[in-house]
Parts: sequence; structure tokens; C-alpha cells
Amino acid sequence: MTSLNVSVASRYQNSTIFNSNSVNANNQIIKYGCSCGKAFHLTEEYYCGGCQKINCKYCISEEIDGYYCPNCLEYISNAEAQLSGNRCKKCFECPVCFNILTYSIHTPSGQTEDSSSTIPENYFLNCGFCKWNSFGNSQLNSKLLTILNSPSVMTGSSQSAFTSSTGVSSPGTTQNQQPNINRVLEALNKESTELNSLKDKKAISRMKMAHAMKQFLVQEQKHQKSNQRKNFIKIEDKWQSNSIPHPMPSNDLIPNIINNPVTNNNLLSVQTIKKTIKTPVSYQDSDAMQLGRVQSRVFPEVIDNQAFQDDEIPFGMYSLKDTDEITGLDQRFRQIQIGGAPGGNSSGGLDHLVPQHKYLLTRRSKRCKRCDRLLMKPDIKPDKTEFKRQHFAFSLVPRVTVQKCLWTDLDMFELFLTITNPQHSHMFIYFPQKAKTSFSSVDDNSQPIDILPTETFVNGLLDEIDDQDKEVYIQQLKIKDSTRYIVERKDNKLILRLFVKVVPSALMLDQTILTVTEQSITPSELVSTNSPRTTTAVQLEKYPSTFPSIKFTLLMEFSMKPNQLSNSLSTDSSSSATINVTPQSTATPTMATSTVSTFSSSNITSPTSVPTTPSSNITPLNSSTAGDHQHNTLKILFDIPANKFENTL
Amino acid sequence: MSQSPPFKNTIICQDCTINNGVTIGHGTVLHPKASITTEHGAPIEIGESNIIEEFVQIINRSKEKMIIGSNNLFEVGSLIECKLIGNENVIETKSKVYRDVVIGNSCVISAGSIVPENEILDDNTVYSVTDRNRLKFTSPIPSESHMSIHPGHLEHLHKTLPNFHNMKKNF
Repeated sequence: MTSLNVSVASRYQNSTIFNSNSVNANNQIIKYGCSCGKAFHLTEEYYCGGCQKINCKYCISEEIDGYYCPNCLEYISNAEAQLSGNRCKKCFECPVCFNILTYSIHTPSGQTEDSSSTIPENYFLNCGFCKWNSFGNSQLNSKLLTILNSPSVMTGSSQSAFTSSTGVSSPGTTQNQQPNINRVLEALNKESTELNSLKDKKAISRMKMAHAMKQFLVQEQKHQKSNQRKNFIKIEDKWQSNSIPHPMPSNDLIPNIINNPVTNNNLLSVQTIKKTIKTPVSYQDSDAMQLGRVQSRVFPEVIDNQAFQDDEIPFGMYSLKDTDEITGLDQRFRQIQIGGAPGGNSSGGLDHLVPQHKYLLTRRSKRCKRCDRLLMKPDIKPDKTEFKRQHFAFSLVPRVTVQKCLWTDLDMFELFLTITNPQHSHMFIYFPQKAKTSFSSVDDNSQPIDILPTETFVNGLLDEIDDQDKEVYIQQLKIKDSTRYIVERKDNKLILRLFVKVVPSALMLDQTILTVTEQSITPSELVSTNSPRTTTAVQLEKYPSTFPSIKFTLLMEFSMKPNQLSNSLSTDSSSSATINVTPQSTATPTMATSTVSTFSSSNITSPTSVPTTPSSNITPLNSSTAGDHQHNTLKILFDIPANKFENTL
Repeated sequence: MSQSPPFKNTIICQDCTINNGVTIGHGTVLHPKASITTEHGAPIEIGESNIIEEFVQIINRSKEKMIIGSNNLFEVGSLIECKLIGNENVIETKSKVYRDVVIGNSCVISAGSIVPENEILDDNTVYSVTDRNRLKFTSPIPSESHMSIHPGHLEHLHKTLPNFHNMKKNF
């Protein structure tokens, strides 16, 4: 069976806040293994219909569909977002508590006549939570007024609002430099978006090489057919046509093509190079350079009363009365400016903080890394929360939860699993039992030893049964339901019982397992554990646990199409005809006991040989999912703390 | 203050818990489930035109008189044990003001912040606790914005609350 070649998996901590430990500790118990060997909580994974496997967050590739502001919910295009430093033009966040700031108007009363005689109204930013406001900061507020009054903010189209606002807080860049910088940014943007759109990275590097060659040997290239290439060259031409500095290090040895374009072929000749090098490098120069290198390794002596930059206390620490006046790291990180002066706001005091524009959020679509299928595509409109395409594992893969677990003996327990079918049609599940050691996790300390040997089904959400063959097969499966394993069926849920033995990992051999299995199936134990309700009512015998948490791996196969359909219909046609009316709940006790009694070590292996039916000879059902013709293997990693057992000592 | 229209009647919803020895001024609104209690029978004096919202607990744990001024707003779930509160203050949602705190006029205590014992807040103080900083600074802006909406807020409550709740009589 191909499914048993699953690599060793390791459990990973839940990452999202919804699954974090503090909310519900039970969320760490069951992890679903990805084919890359990592195991995550089910809600953090995707299910690729193309390759029929679970994708974890490392097995997907993300691409950004668009940017939006979380506050004003305005869609911002890729280029525009990069131009404004991935920040919203209109929305500010509080420098102290990072809340959204609101624009407020202060109409001065008689007391503040002197400061606002010319401006009738004062605009300022106000934090509704921590009450921070920019009321005293007249410089900032006047800039704010320009932002508010500028038509660009009202329409949200131009960049002037952003440039003026960054001009406030970044003293390093003056106002007349800003348009230039913007133009450079724009050109860079266009190129980067162009590069992103091209899929073949090798082609790009090849094109770059070709273009570099073209710069040196200005010759007409003959093959300019591809569209990508044309676009690329257009951008490069733009660099030359505008008077923007070319993004290339200044090197005298490289002929300066931009300033004096040479059209002949002898660019690299000695004469032309000599012409471009204004001052030739002399021996004195190289000696001085050597000396400088040596001297740079000698550290200067520290003079005692000379304070260096690092030793200086950047703010009045001694005059500080309250540690709350110092900014935190996250507050300081948000003060870092694009092109701003590097220690401009690192003075450490809260009163130096300046409100920043709100960072934009992204809408991302996610693809499977193996087959490049779209797993998730969000709606591009920021105010819409539904997805255009979603392949979350949670809504496609049977969900497994632990109902309860009980020690039945020392280092031996029975586990009640609830398996929920999230889909609308029937789901067929099966537990392959071969090769127990190959798929177990590294830190496993126990092993399932007695699981349902046959295939069974879980009802769909709506029970849409339109297939006669399937229906007959389900009836047949219902008859086969042994009360030993299947506790209850209800709606789209199935409660399953299985036995797990705690074994040190060194002893995980099939031989020992088989003997244990035979021991465990004694008739007396069966009677006592037959119905879980009666056992809970009786005072349970308590057992100590060898490990603080019980870890084991369960392999489960599921499919939309019954595995043995074609086989069983031919062989069991006589039996299905007689028993297809018998409901599952009223299965005769003799039937149940007979199936149990025939269960032995020899019988364990028999069902595993059957489901090797090739997928080709089964005609696919008219189900919506793509994964109905193949069996999908799930690797479910359990990590049950011992205190979750109902009868742990 | 002068800008708030004087309301003759006090609105006290029926679910409020009010001990003996509590005097409430005209125009004050008590939402349902507000409780004004004393531990040792010491009196509590509440001024005019206050708004005391749901689940606000005003408890006098000392043996002295507790005085609360006028035009204050106590938001949902706040706990007040202090001995003196002036006028035009806002005590926001789920904030706690402990014993022996003196709050002046036009102060704002922001949501969820805890004012420890023996703190003295002068006029126009803003007290806010975020998860990083505990800010205590002087700014007239928050209380000004409070006073700009307070009369309207009061008027609205006077109009609507009696329509939707049972009132306590004898006031």
C-alpha cells in the first residue's frame, strides 16, 4: 500500500490565536500530519483536492492579491501600497496604544485666543482608548489640516498626502527631495511588479544578462519577440530617459553609458576606458589605501572623560520619575521612518512619539506547492469576508475528537473517538493496520492495538443518497457494525472505540503487538466494556499513568467512494439481499458476538489485503469533490495528557 | 454646571440596589443593575445630572461620608470606592477606583484602568492604563468632549429610559 510510506511526523504548536493554548487546552491534543512530516491542528491546514493530501502552512505558497486598510476598508492597489510604504494615507494609529486615532475638531473658546487667531478651527488626532491626543503639537496639526483639506485624501488617488505627512516626522528628507524620491520609487515599483508577474526566474536573469550586454555593446538584438522582454526593456529605457540616477554603483572603471552614450563597438578599448577615468590610480593612492586598511584595525585609545555615542544616556534618565514615561520596544519600532533620521525618535520618552499611518493588511490567495492548485482565494473587496475558493481541511476532512478515554488495565486504555463528516455525502473510513512502526511519530509512547478492522461509513450532513450501489453497500456495512468498535451513530457523527497500549518506543514491534492484542481480547473484558454508559456509572478502577501524556499516531483512510464496493457486491450479493432491511440499531446480539469472536490475530491482516483495489476500475461518482475516486490517508497524532483520563490515579 | 438643562426628576430603574443613607441629586440617571451601597452605614452623597450605567458599583467602604459631584459619567461595570469625586468626570468601562482616591474636576479615567489607593487626581487629569504604559497627564480635551455630549446624553436617557423600564417610586 502506498499510504504506508508516510514519513515520521512531529507535532507543532498551534499558531493562530484561535487555537492557542490559553483559550482551550484541548486544542493541542489532536494534530493532523502533513505529508511534509509536520503535524498541525486541523483548522490550520488545507486540503488539496488535486494531490489528495493535507497541506500545512509550509506546503503552500502565498501571493498577495491586494492591500487594504483595516480601518477604512479601502482597497489599495499594489503599486500604491508600496509607494506609501504599505500604510494607509488617511488613518493614523496611536503611538502609545496603537489604537486608531480619530480626527477631532477643537473650536477654541476665549482662553486659547492667542494661538488660533488665524485658524478658526483646530484639527487634532485623538485616541479614544488611552486618551492620547496631538493637541499641543501645532506642527503636526497644521500638517494634518493640509491632509484633511487636500483633495487627494478625499478622493484617495494621489500621493501628495503621504509625502506631506512623512515630511512632518522625517526631518532627514526635505520637501523638495520628496517628489524625486517618489519618482524613483514609482519606477522601482513598476519594475518589481513586472518582475513579479514573470514566472520564470531563470528567464529574468537571462534577460538581465542580455540587457547588461546590450548596455556595453550597443547592438540591436534580433530576437525581441517575447512580450516579457519588451516590457523589461521599456522599463530600462525609462531609467535612461528620465534624469533619475541609475541604480548602479559608481565605478570609474565601468564606462558611463548613461551620461555619454557611445554607439560604436570599441567601448572596452583602452582609449575609451582611459577617457572615462579622469584621474588614474597612482602608486601613492594604493599605498595610502593599504595604510588606511592597516590603521583601521588599530583601535583608538579610549580617553576617560570622552563620552561616546553609545555611552550617552539618550534622555534624561536621572530626572525620570516614572518608568512609564519610557517607550517600549514596539512603540519605538513603529517610530522608525522611511528615510528619516536614524535616532530621530529614539530619545525614549513617551512625549516624543508621533502618530504613524496605519499599516495596511493583505488579502492573500494560497496555492498548493506540489500541484500549484488554488487552495484559498479571498474576495478582493475588503468589506467582503467570504472566500471565492476555500479548501480548508476542516471542511473537507473527517474531524476527529476524543470523546473520552479510560484506563482498562495498567498501560492499556480504551479511547472513544467521535468522527464527524463535514461533507454532504457519505464518507467511508478505514484504518490500515499494517506497518505500525513506519508511520509513528518520533516521540510516540503508545500504539493503537485494536481498531475497527473493516471499512465503515459516516453519514453525510444531508444524507443525499442517490446511488443505489452505495446504498446497498451502506446497508451491508451497517450489518457488519460490531458493537465492540462502533458505539453510536448519530447524524453525521460516528463514535468509535479503539484500544491503545502504552509501550516504550523501543518495543514497538509487530510481534509484541500481536501478543498484546490476543491478551487484550478476553471475553470477560469485552462484557465489562461493552457499553460505555454502564461502566461510567460503576466506580471505576483507577490506574497510574506511566507517562505524563500519552502520544500515539493513528492512520486513517477516507474516501467518498466505498473501497470494496465492486468486490463485495459480487461476493456478498446473497447476504445483502437478505439483510438489507435490518437497521443498524437492532442488530442482533448474536451477529455482534460472532463478528467479535472471529476477530483474531489472523483476521487482522485479512481486511488489509482487500482494499488494494485499483482506483482505475471504479467509476467516479457524481460527487462534487475531486477526491472521491481515491483513498486519502490521514495521519492523526494524538497527545492526550494523563489527567484527561477519567480514571487516572 | 450651567450648560446642562436642569431635570427635576431623578431616574432610578427598579433593579438598582440603593442602601439607606444615599442621597441622589436631581436629574441623575441610574441604569438598571447599578448599585450604590455602604458597608458601615456611612452616607453617600451623589450630585446632580450624573449618569450611572449598568453594573456600576459605588461602594462606601469607609466610615466617612462619600461625596460625588455633578455631571459625572460612570460607564458600564466600573467600581468606585473612593471618598471624593468632583464634577464633570468620566469613569470609563470596567475601570476601578479604589479607596481613599481623590478625583478632582474634569478628570477622565480610561477603560479598564485601575486607580490604586491614595492616588490624588487633580483637575483635568487623564488617567489611562494600556498594556504597556500607565499614563497620567493633564489634558482638557477628553473631558471637553464628554461635556459636549453629556447634556444630550442625559436628555435622551430621561426621555427613553422610563418608556422601557420600570422605575422605582418614592423619589
